[in-house]
Amino acid sequence: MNCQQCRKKIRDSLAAGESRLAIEVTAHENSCEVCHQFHAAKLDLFRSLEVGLRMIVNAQVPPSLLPGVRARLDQEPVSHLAAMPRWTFVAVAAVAILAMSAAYTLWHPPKPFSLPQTVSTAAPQSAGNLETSTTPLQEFPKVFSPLRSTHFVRPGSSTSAPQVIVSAEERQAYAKFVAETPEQEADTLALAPPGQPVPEAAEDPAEIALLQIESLEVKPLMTTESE
Amino acid sequence: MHELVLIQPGRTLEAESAREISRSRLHREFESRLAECGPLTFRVAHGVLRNAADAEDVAQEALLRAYQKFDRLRDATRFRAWLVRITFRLALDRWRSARRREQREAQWAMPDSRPAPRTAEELADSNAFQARLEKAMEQLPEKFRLVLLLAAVEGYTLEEVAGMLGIPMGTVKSRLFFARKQLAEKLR
Repeated sequence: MNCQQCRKKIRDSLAAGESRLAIEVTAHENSCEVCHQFHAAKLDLFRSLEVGLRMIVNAQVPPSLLPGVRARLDQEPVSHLAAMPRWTFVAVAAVAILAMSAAYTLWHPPKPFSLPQTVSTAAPQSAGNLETSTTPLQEFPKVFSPLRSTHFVRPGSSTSAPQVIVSAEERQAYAKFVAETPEQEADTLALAPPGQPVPEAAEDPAEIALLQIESLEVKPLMTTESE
Repeated sequence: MHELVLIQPGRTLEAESAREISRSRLHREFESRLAECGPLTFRVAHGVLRNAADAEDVAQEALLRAYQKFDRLRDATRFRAWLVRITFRLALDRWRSARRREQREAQWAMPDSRPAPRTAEELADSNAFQARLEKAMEQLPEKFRLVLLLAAVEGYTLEEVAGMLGIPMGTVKSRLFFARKQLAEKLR
C-alpha cells in the first residue's frame, strides 16, 4: 500500500465514523511518519466537525418556546378547511371542470361541415325535373350561405324562398345533363337565382326589326366603272 | 317584546357538539406530542439558522402549521418525521430570505479584508472554525444537511434518524458519510 491509498482509506474511515482503521492501513501508518501525521490531523479535523455540529444543533431550548406555542394554539382554532376531507376538494374541482366544459360546449357549438360550393336554386314547384336532385339534399338540417359564414338558417325559419344545397359534383352533373338534352331547355330556368324574374319561354322565333334613324340621310354609293 | 334568534340552516346542535368534541380530542393528542417534539423542532431550526430567536420563531410556526393540518396525518407514527420536514423547509426558507437580505446589505458595506487561515487543522484551533463550518454546511445538499443535523442531535441514534426520515439505515449511513467527506473537503 502506498501513501496515497493509505490517506484515502484514512479519510473514508473517518468520514464513515469507524473507530478502527484497517490492519494494512495501521501497518503502513506505523512505518510512515508522514501518513501518521496525516491521520492525526484528519482525526482532529473530524472531531472538530462533530463538536462544531453538536454545538450548532444542541443549543439551549428557550423556555418560552412551548408556552408560546400553546398560546398561539389557543388563539388559532382548527380551520374548517383543514377539517374537510381531501376528496371534497377533488369533487369540487371535478364539478367545476364539468361545468366549464359544458358551458364551453353550449356557447361554442362544434363547427359545421363545409361544402366546397353552394348554389341557391328556385322554388321546388318551379323547378320541375329538379326534384330528383334536390330531394336527398333537403334532408340536411341546416342550410349555409355561399360565403361560408357561421350564420345558418334553420329549416323552419322565415325565408322567402326555400334554399337547397347543391354540391359542385351535382352541379356539374346537372350542367352536363342539360347540355346533352337541349329539348329540356326550360329546366335550366330552375338554376336562376330566386330573386330574379324568370324570362318567359318563347314559342315563336324572334323577329328583328330594321334599324331606322330619321335624321340620317342615306345616299347610294357612287357607281364605279368596273361595275 | 320578542326575542330574535339567529338560526343557521344546516347547523344542528349535535353537529356542533360533535365538532367540538373532535376538536378537543385533536387538541389533547397534539398537546401530548408537543412536549416531546418541541425541542427537536427548535434544534432542527437552529441547525439551519444558527440563531436562537429565529429558530424559536420558526419552531413555533412549524408547530402551528402541524396543528392546523394534524387531522390530515393518516399515520400517527410518522408525526415526528412530518414535523421535522415542515420545520426544515420553513427554516430553509427563512435562511434564504435572510441571506438575500444580507447580500443586499453587503453591497453597501466594506469587504472583509481579514486573511483566511491556511489549513483546516489550523482553523480547528481558531475561533473562525465555527464560522467556516457553518458556511460549509450551507453549501451541502439539503438531504445531506438534514441527516447531518439529525444525527448530531443529542439522544437520537442513527436507527431513530432512519425511522424519522422514513429511509433505510444504509441510506442514512451513506448520506452521513458523503456529508462528512464534503465538509472536510470544503474545510481543507
